[in-house]
Amino acid sequence: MTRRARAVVIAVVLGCLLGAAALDRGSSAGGGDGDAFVALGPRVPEAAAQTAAWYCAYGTSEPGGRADERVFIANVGTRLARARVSVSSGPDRAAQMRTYDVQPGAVSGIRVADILATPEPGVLVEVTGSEAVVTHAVTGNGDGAIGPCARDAAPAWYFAAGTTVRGAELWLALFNPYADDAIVNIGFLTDAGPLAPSELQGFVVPGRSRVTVPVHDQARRDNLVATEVIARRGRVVAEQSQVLDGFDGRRGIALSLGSPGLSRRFEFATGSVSAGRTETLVLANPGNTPTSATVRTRLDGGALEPEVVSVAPRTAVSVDLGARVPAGVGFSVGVRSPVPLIAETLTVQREPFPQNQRGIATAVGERRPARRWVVAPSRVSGTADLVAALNPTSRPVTVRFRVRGVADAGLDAEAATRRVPAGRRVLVNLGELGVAEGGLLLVDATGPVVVERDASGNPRYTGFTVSHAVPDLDH
Amino acid sequence: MDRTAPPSDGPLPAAEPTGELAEPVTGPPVVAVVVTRDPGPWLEEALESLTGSDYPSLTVLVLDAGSAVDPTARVAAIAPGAFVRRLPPGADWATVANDVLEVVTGATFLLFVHDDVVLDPDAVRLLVEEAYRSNAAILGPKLVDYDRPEVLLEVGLAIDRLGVPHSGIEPGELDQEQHDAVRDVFFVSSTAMLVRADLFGELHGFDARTFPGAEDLDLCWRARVAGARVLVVPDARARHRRADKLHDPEDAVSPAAAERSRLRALLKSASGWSLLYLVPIGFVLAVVEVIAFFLTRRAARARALVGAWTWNLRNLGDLRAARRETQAHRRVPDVDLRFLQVRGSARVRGYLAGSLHTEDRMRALSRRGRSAADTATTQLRAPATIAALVFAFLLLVGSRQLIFGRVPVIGQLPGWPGLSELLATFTSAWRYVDLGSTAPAPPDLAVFSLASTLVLGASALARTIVVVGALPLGVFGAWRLGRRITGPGSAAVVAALAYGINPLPRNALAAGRFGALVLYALAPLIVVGLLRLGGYFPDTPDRRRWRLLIGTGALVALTTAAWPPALLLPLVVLLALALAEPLTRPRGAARADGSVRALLTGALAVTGIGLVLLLPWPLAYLRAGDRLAALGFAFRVDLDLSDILRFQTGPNGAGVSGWIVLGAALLVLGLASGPRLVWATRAWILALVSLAIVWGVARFAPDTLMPAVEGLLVPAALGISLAVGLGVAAFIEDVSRFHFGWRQVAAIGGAVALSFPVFAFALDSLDGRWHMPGDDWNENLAWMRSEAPDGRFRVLWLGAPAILPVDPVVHGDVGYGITNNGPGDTRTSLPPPNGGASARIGDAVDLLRARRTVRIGSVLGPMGIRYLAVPQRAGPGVDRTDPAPATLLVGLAEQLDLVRLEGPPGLDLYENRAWIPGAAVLPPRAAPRGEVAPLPEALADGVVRPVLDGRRVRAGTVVWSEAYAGAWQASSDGRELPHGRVFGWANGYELSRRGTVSFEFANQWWRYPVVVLELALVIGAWLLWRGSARFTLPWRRAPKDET
Repeated sequence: MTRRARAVVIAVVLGCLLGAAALDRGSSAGGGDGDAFVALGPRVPEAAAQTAAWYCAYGTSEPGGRADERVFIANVGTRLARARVSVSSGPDRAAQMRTYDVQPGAVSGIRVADILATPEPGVLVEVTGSEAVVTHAVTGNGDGAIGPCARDAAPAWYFAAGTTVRGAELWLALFNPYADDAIVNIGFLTDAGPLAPSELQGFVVPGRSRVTVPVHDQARRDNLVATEVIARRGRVVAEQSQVLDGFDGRRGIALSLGSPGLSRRFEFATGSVSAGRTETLVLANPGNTPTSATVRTRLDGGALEPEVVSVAPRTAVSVDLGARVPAGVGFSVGVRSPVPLIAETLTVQREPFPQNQRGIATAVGERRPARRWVVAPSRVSGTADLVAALNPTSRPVTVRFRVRGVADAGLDAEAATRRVPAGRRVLVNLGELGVAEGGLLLVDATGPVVVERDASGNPRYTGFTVSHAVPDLDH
Repeated sequence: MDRTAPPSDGPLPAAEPTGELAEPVTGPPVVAVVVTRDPGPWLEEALESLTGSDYPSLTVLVLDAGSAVDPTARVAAIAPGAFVRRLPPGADWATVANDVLEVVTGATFLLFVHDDVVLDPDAVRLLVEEAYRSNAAILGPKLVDYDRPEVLLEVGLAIDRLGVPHSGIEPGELDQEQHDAVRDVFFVSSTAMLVRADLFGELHGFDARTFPGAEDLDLCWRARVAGARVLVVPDARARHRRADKLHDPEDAVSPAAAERSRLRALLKSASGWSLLYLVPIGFVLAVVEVIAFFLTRRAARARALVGAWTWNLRNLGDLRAARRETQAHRRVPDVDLRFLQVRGSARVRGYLAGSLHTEDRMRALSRRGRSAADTATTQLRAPATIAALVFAFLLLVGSRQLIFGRVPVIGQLPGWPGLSELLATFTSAWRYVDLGSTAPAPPDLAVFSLASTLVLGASALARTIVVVGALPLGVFGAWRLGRRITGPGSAAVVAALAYGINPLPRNALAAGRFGALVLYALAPLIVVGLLRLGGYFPDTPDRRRWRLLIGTGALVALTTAAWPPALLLPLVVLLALALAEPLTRPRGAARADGSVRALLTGALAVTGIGLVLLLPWPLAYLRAGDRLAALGFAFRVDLDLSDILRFQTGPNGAGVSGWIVLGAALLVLGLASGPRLVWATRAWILALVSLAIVWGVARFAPDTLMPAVEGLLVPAALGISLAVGLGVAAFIEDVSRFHFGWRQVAAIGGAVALSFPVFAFALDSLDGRWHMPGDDWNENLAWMRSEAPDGRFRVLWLGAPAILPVDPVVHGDVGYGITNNGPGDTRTSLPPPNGGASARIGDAVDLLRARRTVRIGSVLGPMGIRYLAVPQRAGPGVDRTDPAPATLLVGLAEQLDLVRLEGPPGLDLYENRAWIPGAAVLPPRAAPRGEVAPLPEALADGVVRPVLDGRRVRAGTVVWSEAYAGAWQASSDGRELPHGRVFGWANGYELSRRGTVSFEFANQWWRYPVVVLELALVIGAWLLWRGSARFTLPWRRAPKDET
């Protein structure tokens, strides 16, 4: 070979190697999804799901129980849904099961006591055939509460709002739907400091059973009690119920599905302050890093300066949202924190509200804005059944409220369409829109929104409740 | 001391010995027995040494074993007092020597000497004196070379446990009196051996069936067993000319005879307890040696080893009688003889000894002359040889845990079941893989069966040999290829070593990529064949081309059976050489020395032959569909260019040293000239093609499923290794032609730098298993096998495809595979090409990884899947984790009908509570007909009953969870049951009344002729290969002389 040929060969070889090096840029992304977001929390099942499970942790089904439980199965899809409702009462006893067919657009309400009467019912609803949303309601202490059931069991759960002052009971329900036992550590962040009762460390939640922990027996007479449940083994579903007997003027029952994770942002859509209504935001920092959370209270038609709240590690602090808000003005709240924490509101309605609208409600902040939400059952109150859609983004969105058509009733009925400016909310009264009771309300938006319900005066579920709607994260 | 007149009966010619010896003057009578046949001129000197002995009572007896010319006159001329006894021709040395039992009486000692041995005058006396002093029965002198008496030949001999002689004398070792001490030895050579006559008679002399090769060993061994001492007396010296017609010529002691004699001696004299372990060990090592000899083309030695065993088996009756007699004399246990034997791994040490230091080798070296010994010594001291020996040593060190421990079951390196299971699987018309398939069994099962047969059914040993042997075999192949390209010498050795220290095979081992390992081992040989077919090596005679074609095709078939993508290797080589053609074509020449066209034909031909030899297996791939996993396409290339260029695909290799090899390979392009530059160009283009395939996929299509990257990079490793070898060749020859300059400096620097990758190789060898785990999931989950009596079940392996101990099918980023009744073995390797019913497993995996169900157990239950195993690492104790995708883990955690079991660390194990045994009876109509995936609620615990052999089951729907096929039949008490499809894919039968149920695949009959056909193809190819010398390739026929 000639010198020229040698040069050509060297050029080819080096050219290939250097060319590849230039193009390589160190990119060799594999196909793994190790960082893939694993959605947790209540959400509409995706259409392709073969079986979707919902776990309703808190409630009782025995006669005279403190929180009589009722389950609602709402068929959001267009095909017949078959729901198998299993009520377990303990690891050694077989769960009682019943199967229900739910027509598209329909909502089936089932009293848990009709399936099995037990003081510790763990309710598992498995739905096949269509997408369905499952919520449950509890009544007791002259009040009622409604909220979505959980879609997942999780290894960690957090609650912020809770109190064990005189006249208060705080019940933590842990539901383990799996065959294996779960072992959890339960701790509390109180205004007096963190608390980790020894009997709640390595606490066993037997498989296929529900256990209720009376928090008020562990953290006595604490004004603020934030709860954290960390599973050492297995997964559980955690729900908390606050009961106030009226000793300090607050009376009612509240129901909160815990948050399976901490977050740097929370949204609350249904704030309002009026005579007899107070609203308190509780921020709990289970971590070991102090943080300063920014609380933005967005008034309807106005604005307030953001409030910066310092939250020390392993503590909880409360913020009286009504302190800076003029009476009768509605508002929404956004919480931002550089350190993940948990935020929850405690809302109380008492005199001068009518008897059937008095009560208490807790709601963990929503951290997943979505374009579609399901409110089921659509209307639970004949008096004040409000649905708020909050636009936490910086762009205006249009929100459509539609009532899903039942089986053969034809298309969905448009109830209302509202334009929501950036950072604002829209509030609709389902009664005024003519939405029938027991139906299914879809909220569609052109951008991510947060939808929350604020209802009181329901003749069947006496009292007052605040709860999030169920997002459809795939929409 | 003067010797007295010999006690002779008179002149010797034609006289027969009387058998009565004259009274000795002094000392015990000794009869020197000289057995001879057609003696050369040395006889006289040998006799003179006897007659000149200073021992007074020595009588000479010459036994003539049928010489063509009667030697009596010659004997009489030198030793008039000697006796001569002529025996008919044909008898061997031992038989003739035993004649003394008949004709000699009254002698105290018998001195057997070859007719070419010259004893020192005092030798006999010293031997006799020592016999009395030490109460020894057999004694031998120090043997030195006749022509160079300062060179030692023998000072007594030891043996190893398997009877292989070991002299302890280095070839050419000078006698500096370093061995001059009387001592016990295991045996002395019959070259010159003083034996107590009474013992000789008691032992009935030599065992003629141990001649040639071990008659002396056998006699001494039996004497030792009987309690007699055997000594060497170095003060007594004998010079040995090594010209005795009965012992020393090339054809006198064939390897076959020597091996069988040695084995007979062992089988006779070792105790029964010793034989319990000596026989199996000896046999196994013999098999290893046979393989090694075949690989090194020393077929005669291999045949000798095989022949030794078969000969002794054929003569078992006689052997037993001889052994009975030997053991009847036993006074000493074997353990008391150990101190005379070589310590350590007996056969291996014996092999090494046999290769380097034994008497055999000494004789061979001697026969080849001093110059040959000098050459060998020089070669041993050559840098390349030293490097090869260092490499071999490191290879042994690095593989020690695999050789002496076990090769773990990881990745695509499954265990091999017993021979019968392998054969049953291969000949079965139904493949119990995934959910079952009628696809033909992969031919690697037949290969594994053959390998297991070669080691008497020890399939685990066969697997170890194949796996551990892949690396040295690859190096051997690279050496052969390098020798062709760079010429014999250091360059070829360096090319082979560069191939050997490449981290690719070590990483293939560490990841359990069996296919890549096989390709690494055989690719160089395939490339040699292809290049010869392409005319790149013009020395290939045309008459051998058929043989070459079939041989290369067989190699392609063998490789493809282990790794289907290997079928493309010839085409990759073709592509590379075609691309290199314009760069390497001499100016003005039509083409270079090789022909791409001929290579094209050859490549297509060997590929075709490879496919034909694998029939009917390849036909199944016509329906591969979306299951490319069946072709090994199951991995993503998650490497950057740096990793690819350094072959850093796993834990082996050492960072920067990979660049050094690359740099050394690049150097050749500047150093080489002429043909070496041409070959360097070809080598580099081959490497670039391989590298480009891997890098291109990694860079531009990272989600594309590809075969194991260790296999894809084999051509690159080969090309770069050749380039390195060519660099050495250039350094040796081309560089010397240039004036001193950058070339010389670079070449020296390159040589020094190459020590770094060797160092990396040495570091990798430290753990003794090339970073393979010490344990495997199979061992950890072995308990599952004990659950098979509860009913057939399957295990679903899920997780990152790279670490699953199965051939994974990949959906998204989740790999999965199925094993039967516990951890898998090679019977469940290679998923069937056509997904069929098995695609339902993939559907279930999709449901799981997308979290679309919480009852995956109900979906998998009818498939007989009882356990789900999710490894997070390749094996227990492996540091590097490769976790399963998070969505899969979350999906598994939220299943309501799975129970997490306590698995070993690094493995998540779930039990499916909705499992239905593979053969089960369900309540009537409980098994849905049609496309129903989840089981209905009725199938709760206790409702399903397994169908077990011979047990009666209640009426109901019998489910046989193999993919539905009309040929599956079930019968109960002699009645065939109505057959239908259940769960949309499985076999269901209606059992109307209680009874036993059995299943049968009715189409088994056609598999046998297919197996016969496969066998016929292989045998036909072999016959063609053996007798193909008379064929020539059509395109290679010499053109007829048109004149």
